[in-house]
Amino acid sequence: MTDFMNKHLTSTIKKHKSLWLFCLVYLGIFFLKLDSIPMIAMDEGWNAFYAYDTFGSNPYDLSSTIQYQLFFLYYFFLSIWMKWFGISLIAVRSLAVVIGLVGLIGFYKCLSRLTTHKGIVILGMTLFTMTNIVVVTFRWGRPEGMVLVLLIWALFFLIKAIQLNNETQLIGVGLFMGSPILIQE
Amino acid sequence: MIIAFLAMAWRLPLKPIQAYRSFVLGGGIIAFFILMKAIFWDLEYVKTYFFNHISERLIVANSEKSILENVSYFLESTHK
Repeated sequence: MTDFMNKHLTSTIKKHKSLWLFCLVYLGIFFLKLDSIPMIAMDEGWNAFYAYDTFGSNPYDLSSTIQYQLFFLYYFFLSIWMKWFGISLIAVRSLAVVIGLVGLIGFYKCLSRLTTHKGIVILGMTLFTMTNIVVVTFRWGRPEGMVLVLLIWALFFLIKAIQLNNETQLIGVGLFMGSPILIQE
Repeated sequence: MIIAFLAMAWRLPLKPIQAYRSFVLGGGIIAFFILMKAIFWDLEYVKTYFFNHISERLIVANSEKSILENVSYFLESTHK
């Protein structure tokens, strides 16, 4: 069983070498540059506060009327993240980096479906990671990055549906295009 | 995004009826989840806060403000 898993893992890494390389470079740069933003956006503290207050274990009664109960997804993940990695600016921002990684994998899968030319895939990935949207949203403790990631995965299922001529793949498009509404009110 | 998809889905090289059905099913799962959460977990919040928040910003027949001002208020308003 372990041998099978190791073989599978090795073949997956070999097959998607450029992706893993990109992921490592992305994580390295984005994690190292987390504290290089010269300001703390008000929303970063706000989001962390809300996640801690609602889904964490805040012992104080804040009697807050501000609620995101129906649209909770980002705060829910952020609270779990803060439980694991503590409450700090770096911890809050690092969740955005990891969310970006999920988007990067999704974007790679989209490109791989559209072309077999490795050079084009690498160029596409490079352009994607260098866009100002990615550089900004995936380093701040804000929920917008999560919306982008879900839309990338919706795009992946759309491409898959067209290529496989399979309408049921559009359930994935509906799910990923509908789920951003859960992220933030 | 959703409206754009609905508008262009019939041009996809897929059977349009099945394509729309699958897309609406996927979105419907999310809508159903929100509805269930609203009814079973957050009913008090929905009744007291959520509807007020929406209705305050959707009244366009307000004699004190023009429609344009109301639309502007809705777009610029925030939940905070």
